[in-house]
Amino acid sequence: MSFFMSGFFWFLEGALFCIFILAVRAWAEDRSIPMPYWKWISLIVWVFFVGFTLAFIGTSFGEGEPAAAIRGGILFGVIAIISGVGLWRLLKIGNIPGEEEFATATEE
Amino acid sequence: MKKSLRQRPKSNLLLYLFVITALVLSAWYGRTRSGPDIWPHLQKIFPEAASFSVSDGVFVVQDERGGLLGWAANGSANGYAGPLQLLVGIDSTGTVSGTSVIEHRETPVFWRMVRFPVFFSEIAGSSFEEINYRYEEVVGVTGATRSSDAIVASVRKAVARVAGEQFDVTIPLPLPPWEFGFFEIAIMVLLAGAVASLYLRRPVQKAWRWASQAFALIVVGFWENSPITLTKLTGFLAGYFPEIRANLAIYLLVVGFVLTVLLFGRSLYCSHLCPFGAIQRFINLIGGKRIRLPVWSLNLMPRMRDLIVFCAVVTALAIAQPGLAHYEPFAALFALKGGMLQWFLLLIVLLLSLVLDRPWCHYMCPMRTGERVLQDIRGTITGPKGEQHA
Amino acid sequence: MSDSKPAFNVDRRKFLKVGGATGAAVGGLGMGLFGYAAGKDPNSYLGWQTYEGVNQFFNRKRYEVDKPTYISSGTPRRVDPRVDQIFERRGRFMMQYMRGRQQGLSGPDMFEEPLRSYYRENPEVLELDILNVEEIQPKQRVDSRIYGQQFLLAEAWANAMGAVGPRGPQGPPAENDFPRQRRMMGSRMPGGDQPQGDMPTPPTVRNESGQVDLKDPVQTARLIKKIAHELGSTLVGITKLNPDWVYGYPIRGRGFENLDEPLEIPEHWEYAIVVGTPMSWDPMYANPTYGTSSDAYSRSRIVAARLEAFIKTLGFPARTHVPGTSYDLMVPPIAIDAGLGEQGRHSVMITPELGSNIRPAVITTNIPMAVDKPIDFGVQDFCKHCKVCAENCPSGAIPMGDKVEINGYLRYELNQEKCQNFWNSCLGSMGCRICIACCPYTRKANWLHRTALNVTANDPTNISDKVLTSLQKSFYPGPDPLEYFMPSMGGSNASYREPPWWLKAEDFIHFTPGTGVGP
Repeated sequence: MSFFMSGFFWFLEGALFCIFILAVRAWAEDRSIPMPYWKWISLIVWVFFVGFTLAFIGTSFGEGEPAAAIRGGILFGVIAIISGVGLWRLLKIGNIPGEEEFATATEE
Repeated sequence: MKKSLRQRPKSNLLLYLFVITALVLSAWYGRTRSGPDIWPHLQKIFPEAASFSVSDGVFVVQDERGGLLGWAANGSANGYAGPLQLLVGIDSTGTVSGTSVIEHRETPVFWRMVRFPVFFSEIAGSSFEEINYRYEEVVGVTGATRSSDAIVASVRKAVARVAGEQFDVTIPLPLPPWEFGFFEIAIMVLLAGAVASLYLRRPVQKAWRWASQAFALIVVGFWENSPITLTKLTGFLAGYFPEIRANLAIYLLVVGFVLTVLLFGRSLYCSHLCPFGAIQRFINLIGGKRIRLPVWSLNLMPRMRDLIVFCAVVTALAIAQPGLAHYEPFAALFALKGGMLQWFLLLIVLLLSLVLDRPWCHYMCPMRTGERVLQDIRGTITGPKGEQHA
Repeated sequence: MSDSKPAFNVDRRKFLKVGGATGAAVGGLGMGLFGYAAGKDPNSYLGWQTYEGVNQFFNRKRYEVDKPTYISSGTPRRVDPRVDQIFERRGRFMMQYMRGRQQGLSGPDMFEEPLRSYYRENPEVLELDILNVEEIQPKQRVDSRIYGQQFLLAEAWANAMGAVGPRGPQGPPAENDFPRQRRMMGSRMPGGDQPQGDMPTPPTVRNESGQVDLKDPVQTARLIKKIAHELGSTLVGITKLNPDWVYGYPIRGRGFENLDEPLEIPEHWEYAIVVGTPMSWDPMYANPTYGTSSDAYSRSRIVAARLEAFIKTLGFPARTHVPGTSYDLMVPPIAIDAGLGEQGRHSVMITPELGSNIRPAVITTNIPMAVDKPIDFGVQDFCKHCKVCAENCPSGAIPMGDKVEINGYLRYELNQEKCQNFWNSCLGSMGCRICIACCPYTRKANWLHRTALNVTANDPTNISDKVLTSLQKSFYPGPDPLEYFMPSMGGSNASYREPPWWLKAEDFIHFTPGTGVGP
């Protein structure tokens, strides 16, 4: 059985996912971007969709269906990129530019 | 008024003369080039035939002494693997004397498997009235596959032609019922709405356009997948008019496109009904950016587009296959159908839409070329005033 | 925030953020590699990797229905295999046609009853039967000599697989079906050894007719299914035998003396056990030329014969009905009754696990068992608008239209003459099977296709059917159907997918030039 089909692989994927989520939290805190639950949900859904797209491309190539890999890659990839751009702009909602400096100033 | 650096490519008479000549020549070539030799087929149907003449598209067949043997007419339709053309002979008493297949791309066994020879042998000796009966019968037996539909339709077309010309008998061709439903009404409403919105205040105009495009994206795009394509336009140019009853929607769209350009100087189809234009605007809304391209590219790209469209149309006309002009990625998006070219175009266009304003419409769409031509026609009619909208 | 170690804090946050970005990239790459591994996974070759029964993974409980999904619409009529079963009819046709031709006859008059009246009623069938022998088979022989070498390994593989397989019953039910072994554990079999001398008679587990005393039908069913899996069956189901599915007359090679005498259904054909195995996946996708049915035929026959022996050892009568043509009954509807799957547009049974890629066999018996329920996992709705098989069928045998009534049941009408004429025209290991290969349900077992299966099976709105059908048509295109024909009929011997490396003859064998092989 291939390493990529093993439980240990999914354990590592889960660990990487957790690190990614922690990093997003740190990034949002540093920029004073509020992160309500709906942002987290859409972010996680998006990450899963990107994962699906990549796995779809890989599986199609592995099965010997390159046409499916290319067409599916384009279709799902376009959706992922466009929704990613949309999500990026959504994430910034509520951000007050300069708030970071303001916060530090009051603390001092 | 601030003068735009962006130039509208100048149209001149000489260019148009060249384009029109090229189109006419290629269409003429495409129509005449592959005209098969009819004589062997006439001889097969009428073994005593010695000569024939053509009158109103019907072949009048004579024997050695000049006596009338009968008439023959062409019928054609689209078969399983391509165009299908056959010749039907009718003798002087009004009975079908035989049929001969002039051109078909069905493979021999496929051909025999769907039992066309049986149909042909059965049809010989039928009178006009019986054709209708056999039509139903044969369609029933063969299960109405594409090919059997095509062949029966072409026989009936040919018979109807001879009957009408020579016997003054009208054979009722089984016309398809009018396709008139939600989709056709929706197109008419959208077109009327687009025209009406021109006379409203600007914010209302804008809101209406968003609504109209959202609706068109779903209905004209994902549901019906029937935006105007270069294939359809080239078909019109080449004279292959689709049956209007079954294709009312495409006539509505094309007429709407032409009329709005001629009347208002710009295509309301493009701005309000085209689903592909709509999705680019929606994606641009998501992307939220409009990068300004360098002026030289703004001037170059439409000319490149016009050149590509010209070449595509001329080639398609010359080889009499309108389908070859097809390069738009519409079907790839709305029906997931298309070759690799269409898929990669789709990828590029949709991603560019994030940062550009409708890149397909401005730089690649053949409809824009058509709009320009129509604008020039409008310009010649109304004088320089008509150019204002451009 | 503490003032004491700002630098460390900033660094740690920066490290976390960089790590998160790297993690996302590595994780994404990992997803792609996982996908590739899943696509290549040998475990996705369902039915070819284990005999433990784990292949029957689909949870049928959720989809069980009381009535099968085919619709009874009139008075049922048992099939007359002499005319309705194409192999039986064409066997009779060949002999009578050759004789009739020598006598200078033509048309339906060349044939004896029941063929004569059948051909009178169905002249188009006669025409297609004649086309088969007069045109298609001669052409196929010529093309096979010119282009056949390309499929040499495929033929060898088919012959290898077909080399082993029990013949099936060689006598009518009364002779063949009952256990005949003389020595058995817990004896007192009818005609078995009698206790000798003053040896004490041991307590027996068998009744007067030699059948063992079974505790519970549910447990028996469980046992039979486990044994079937152990014997190599991928799927197994049990049902009461519906007499509508038994042929009206017996067919050749089953040990019946008079083939024109109606077939009485014996009382002991009470239950039907359906077993089935898939054809090897990669050759199956390379149909019509490289694929074969022999592999699954052979495996299913072996399973059925072994199961028959198992049941007979328990003292119960059993009779096998095995592919390719050794049946007294129609197998797919019985398999549908037994909950293995549903009937598709191409008239092949579609199962959740193997899609259309299954070759079932039946064992009729009266060993008391709990029966399975039929299932409904959405195939009827899916087939209604999918039509992938009909579009890909080169012979035009699969209808694009709706179901019609046949023998009292509503179903899609397959034109079996067109179908068999086409497979007689194919080079290689004989047969076509394109509809099986292109069916969207016929998928190897990996996460992607199992997810799609579960989505369609659970979606009450049928929206997913439409979406998945258009994805299928877009993502998994096949050659133009006309390309499947052999060269003398205008095609290029195309196959639905590339053959696996081990069937590409040109990579292993020197061909003489000019044989139509290679570029």
